[in-house]
Amino acid sequence: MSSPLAVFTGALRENRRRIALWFVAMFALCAMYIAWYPLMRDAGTDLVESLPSDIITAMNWEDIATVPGYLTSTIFGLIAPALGSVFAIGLGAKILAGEEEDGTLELEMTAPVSRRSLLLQRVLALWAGSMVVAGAVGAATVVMVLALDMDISLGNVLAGTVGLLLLVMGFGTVAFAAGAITGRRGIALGTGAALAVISYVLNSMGRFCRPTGCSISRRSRGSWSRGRCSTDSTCGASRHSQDSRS
Amino acid sequence: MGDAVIRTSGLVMDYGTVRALDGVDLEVERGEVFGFLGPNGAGKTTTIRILLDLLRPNAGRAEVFGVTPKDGGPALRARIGYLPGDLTMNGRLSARALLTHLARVRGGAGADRIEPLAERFGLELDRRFRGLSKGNRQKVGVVQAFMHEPELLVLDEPTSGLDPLLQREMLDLILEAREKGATVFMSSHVLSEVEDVTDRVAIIRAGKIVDVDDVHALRTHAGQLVELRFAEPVDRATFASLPGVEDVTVEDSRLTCHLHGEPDALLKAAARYTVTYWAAEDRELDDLFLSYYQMPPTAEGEEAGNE
Repeated sequence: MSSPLAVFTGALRENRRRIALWFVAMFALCAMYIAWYPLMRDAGTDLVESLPSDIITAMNWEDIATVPGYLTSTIFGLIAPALGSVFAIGLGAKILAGEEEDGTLELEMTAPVSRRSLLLQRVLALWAGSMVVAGAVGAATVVMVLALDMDISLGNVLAGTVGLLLLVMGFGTVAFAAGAITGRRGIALGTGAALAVISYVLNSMGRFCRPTGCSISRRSRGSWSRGRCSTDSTCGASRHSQDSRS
Repeated sequence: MGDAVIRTSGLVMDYGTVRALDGVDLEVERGEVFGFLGPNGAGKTTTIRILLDLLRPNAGRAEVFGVTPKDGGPALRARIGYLPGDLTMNGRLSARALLTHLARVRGGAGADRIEPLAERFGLELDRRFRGLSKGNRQKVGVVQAFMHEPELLVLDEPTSGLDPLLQREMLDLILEAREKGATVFMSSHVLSEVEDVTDRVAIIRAGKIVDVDDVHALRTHAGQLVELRFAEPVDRATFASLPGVEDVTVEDSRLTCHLHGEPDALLKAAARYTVTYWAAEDRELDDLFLSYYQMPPTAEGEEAGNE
């Protein structure tokens, strides 16, 4: 009855401005951060040595002077998941519950689309938007890696981008689902944000837990998204150092 | 009754502790224009939202084309055109983009009618929705409700926000739809705006239907307002007891009253005097309508079926 994916394309059109602005902002911010890498490479070792080791551990800055370490510490471990989650949670809360609260969903709800299809197409639009924003991070990284001739394989960048995408999509989908259940944008935002903050805290604290054998960090979504190895060409070495500590 | 397009029985809807609907029974026949009248907050919009499966009632049953809105699903909604009472849409998009999108969601139905309908109502399609006046927003709603030529039109306050000329255009559109066989269920809080096109009206007050009647019967019931002037002062008692005459007031030689039914007795009583002026006008149905608002809640009637 309804043209296939009409709701999906409509939802994307409604949010195209937001998605486009986020793409530009994420691309610019990531490119800017990576542009500072040559400075960090020179100063990084001193920085790491000058800070208390617990802070270094909590911020995951152990390898900040290496290319994979720098990308992980700044982009893939911090800025991109944080901002990407803000984007995805915001869109996830808006694209169903927000529209319902504003009353802009009403005419689609009375159109010949099943409620199930409406829900699916809108969550698909959320995922597509997340892909664009995660893609901005990946694209900026690739561009800068090539421009600065940095020592990291593009495969690892891709893996990091996919991990980032899955992370923000996960948070966004949780917000979306909370909004679908309650119909309230505020609850959707709160649920998504709470989950994101809790995972970040668990991920940071988890780094201190390894000696006791508890591996919160490995189970937290943040850690999982980076796969510990994805952007880390010195994966073997870092795992080795991990093992030697535990 | 065979061919009811809309049938509700004992609809009850509570918002928290507030009872919005208190046992609404309605039956709308195929091909009629049915007016659903009542003051704001009487339960009109709630009833309409139940018919479109935007709300589910706490008790009672609603059927549209013989199925509940829930069971009917998309197939049922494809046969309905709906004009919300309070239309909100994404303000950044143009009217054309919004309407094209809605046509696409309807599988393309009505896309070709966007232009002609917009032209008819003088709607500028390329303006952003946000920049449109209340009346122009209402036009966007009208276009999307009528464009796919649905079998049933559910219109929540269709004339509100439109100037008199466009109200007329709107009513013409409703009559055209009926000529093509559509059924129209429209709400209003102003009877005079819809009385010209409605066949029957239901009057809802505080979540209950207080009257269902055809418009002509209502009009007869309403009667006429008669004014007579005489050459000399007259005695009120001569007229007060006449059949069909009510609310007689006499100021010297001027008499006004409400007349129901045949004017014969009044005319013959007046003929005994010298009549210098005569005026009789149909009472505004709104007057009658108003008297329903002011009526205390009736104790008689449909209490059965409510908790």
